[in-house]
Amino acid sequence: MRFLKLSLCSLLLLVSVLLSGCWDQYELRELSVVTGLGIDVLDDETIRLTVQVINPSELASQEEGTGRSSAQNYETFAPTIQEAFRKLTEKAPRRGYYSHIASVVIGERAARAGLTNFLDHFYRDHEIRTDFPIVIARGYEAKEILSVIPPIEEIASIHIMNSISYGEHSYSLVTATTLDDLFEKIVGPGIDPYLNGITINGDETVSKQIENVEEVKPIAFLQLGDMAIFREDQLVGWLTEEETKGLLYLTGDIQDTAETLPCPNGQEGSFVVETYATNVTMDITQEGDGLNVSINPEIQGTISEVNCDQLDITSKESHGYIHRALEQKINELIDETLTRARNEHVDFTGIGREVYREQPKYWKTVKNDWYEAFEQATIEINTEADVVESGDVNNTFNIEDYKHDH
Amino acid sequence: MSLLLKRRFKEKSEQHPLSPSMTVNVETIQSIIGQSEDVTVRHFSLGKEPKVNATILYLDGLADLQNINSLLTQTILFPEGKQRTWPEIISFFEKSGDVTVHTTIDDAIKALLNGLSLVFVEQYDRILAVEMLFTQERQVDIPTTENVIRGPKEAFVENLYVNMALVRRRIKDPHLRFDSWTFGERSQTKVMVTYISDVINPTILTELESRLQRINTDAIQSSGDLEELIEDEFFTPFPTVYSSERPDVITSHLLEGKITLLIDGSPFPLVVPAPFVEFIHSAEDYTQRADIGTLIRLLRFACIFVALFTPSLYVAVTTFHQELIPFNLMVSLAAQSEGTPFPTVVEVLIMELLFEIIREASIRMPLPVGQALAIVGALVIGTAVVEAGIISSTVVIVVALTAISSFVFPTYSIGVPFRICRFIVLLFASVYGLFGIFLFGMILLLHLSNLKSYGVPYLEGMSPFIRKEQGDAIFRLPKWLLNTRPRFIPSDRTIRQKTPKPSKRL
Repeated sequence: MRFLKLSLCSLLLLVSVLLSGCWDQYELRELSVVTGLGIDVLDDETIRLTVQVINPSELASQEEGTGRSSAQNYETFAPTIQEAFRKLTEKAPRRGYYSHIASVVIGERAARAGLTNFLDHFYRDHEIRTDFPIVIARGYEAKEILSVIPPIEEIASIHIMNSISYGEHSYSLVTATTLDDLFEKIVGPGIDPYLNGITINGDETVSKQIENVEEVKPIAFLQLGDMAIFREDQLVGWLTEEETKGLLYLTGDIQDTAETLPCPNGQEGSFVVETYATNVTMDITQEGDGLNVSINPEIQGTISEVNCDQLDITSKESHGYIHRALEQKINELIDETLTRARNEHVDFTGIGREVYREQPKYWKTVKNDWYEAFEQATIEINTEADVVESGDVNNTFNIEDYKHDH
Repeated sequence: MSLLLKRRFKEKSEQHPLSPSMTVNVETIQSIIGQSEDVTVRHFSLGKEPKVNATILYLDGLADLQNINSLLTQTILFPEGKQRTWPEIISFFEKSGDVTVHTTIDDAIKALLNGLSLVFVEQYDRILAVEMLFTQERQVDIPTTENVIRGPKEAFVENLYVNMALVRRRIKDPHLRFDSWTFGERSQTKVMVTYISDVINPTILTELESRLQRINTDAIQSSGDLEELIEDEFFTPFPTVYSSERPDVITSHLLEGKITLLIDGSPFPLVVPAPFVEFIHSAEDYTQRADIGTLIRLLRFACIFVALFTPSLYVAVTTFHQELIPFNLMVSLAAQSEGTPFPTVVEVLIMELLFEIIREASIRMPLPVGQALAIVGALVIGTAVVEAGIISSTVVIVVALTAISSFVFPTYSIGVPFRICRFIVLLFASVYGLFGIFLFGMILLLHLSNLKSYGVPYLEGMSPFIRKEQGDAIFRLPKWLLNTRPRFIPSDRTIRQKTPKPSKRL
């Protein structure tokens, strides 16, 4: 009896092994690891999918490689993304593996046509992770961006991922927007997405060749740039550098950046405050038809450079001045961004979402023409800055002082 | 087969009665033993007036010849004249060694085969067995399988009495018991059931005795023989009887209330009951301070998982779940596997088998050849397979890591189940990926929870979880906190010590 039971169990196990095992097994050498995707929409509305596939033995080799490129770009053309992916088999020798995508570049034209046209597949497919940053190619096509040979990283898609994650932490003109964030902003009420732009700085014909990186100063390089702003899922324009900064202050996405401020009393020179730890609260009140929004960013900073003769940062007055100067600067930046948003009839600021959350009844009345209401709203910005440190020294050294001593 | 054995035993047990004639008796014994070369017969006489003829019978090599010779020269001093009585004769021979009196030929033969010398005296229908043993024994040496840095450096030997002395020297307690059993119809192997009578759980002793009583075999050659006859479960790779060659380990188990079987001819006494954690503990844990003892134990437990799961995790992750590998690692793994001809699981299997072959060969090989083997194993195979592009170098790393981890276990026998399971889980992983590994892990856990060693759950302390047992399981608390014996000891015997936490007065 016991033997019967045992053999029955092992039979069942064997059957399950034979029937269901191994269906998703792939050896590493059977896979083409995809690190970058580029999406362009052509004139006839077909999609051009650029797939960047690494060449592992070149990428990992510690010795001199064979001279082959570390990555290959395959291009396929199809009316839909999924079909374009499948058409890849015509050109690539191995099965594409999409879980290690480092970045996705979307052509400007494709973005203007609307992101939802092709992003559905990325969200639906189980093999694709949704944690890669998305950038918009500005002035170039996505395939050109992915063809650039960057100076340090071996391939463009990884260069984009790394420079976004580094830039996000130190200058804050960039912010990593992943597919998840993007969807949340496209679908969510009262908020529109924004994505980093990327462009080629320099001669783009040389950028694809190895000569590009043979000199100390690369002839062409990828540059992350201004923010692309969207209405729902359609690209409507680009923010300037100042506006981008204002946007990130407004949304609290700033992780660390530097602000150059003028010296007190109209003197020449400037000083720099490194700002970090921003926290933004919004108060939304509604009177009659009018909407009052008060935006209160709280910003901390550290004095990181002083080029003013008479800024005694140990004194109380200067302390007040530094705070006021920083607050004013940030108020201006945010105001500029808001003006742009209201003029463009785009709400990437998230004020609409705040209204939806705080005043849901009022939101119902305005949600169909929120951009109008946004334009009419009274918006007040009250930045509160707190500069607490000054680095390793107090006042800057003064050459004049030393001259008298000797 | 068993029927055949039984018949043979019956045949053996037919009795030979003692004859009144000395010469007949000697001849009977010689004929039963079959005129064997090593049986020596020497005739002598006791005293001068009147002479009494006597014969001594012993086995060359087992009996102490020097002692016998001096006994024979002393026979001249045998008291004269009087009527010789049994007590007198016995007390004369007792000067040379312990004397037992046998009234049957069969008992006498048993004594002879144990190395005793048989003395026949004319006109007396008794046989004296005099214990004049010559023992050529291995010296008590340093342990070869369980080394420690700080701790006693002696190991058990083959001689039962030396081993008993080693135990007795460490536990000078009148309650220490050596219950003598003899197993093996032909080998007559002596086994000492050793325990401390006022510490053990009597039901476990009864259980052990009932299992010992079932034994009906022709020979017990080693502790492994006996282990197989008294263990709990055959259908498991896991050992349910503990064994160690270290006297200090054995006595510490005795003090915990476990029962030990010292086996003549085997330097590895057995210990029951044996829960799983005992196999992971080393004598070193207690000779070092508690902190490092605990950390090393944690490392050892981690090594179980490394030794068991590394090859299968590698196969599962690289062939099913590539998304789990960090990108840069994935790139280098992919670069290495470029151009290798076999699937990953076959690569791992080849290397694992190769390692098992090298391991088995190096145990059996004479030492000087072992060096050549190491060179072949490490350089020729290890390096060459990678350079020839047959095996990717990561697989060699994985197998090497597994191999090293499997040598961490302090007892050899616990490494075995993990060696076996490693291959099974590898197959699970190659078919189902991580899911297969979890599936196997669950089966393994179910199996382990199902095991018992002499009524004690194999995973004692862990499953079911007993907080009190944690002090000396994965962790090793300082001695002044380890106040109680294991849970299977009756509660009135459980207190081991009451030393308070060390305090200082200076």
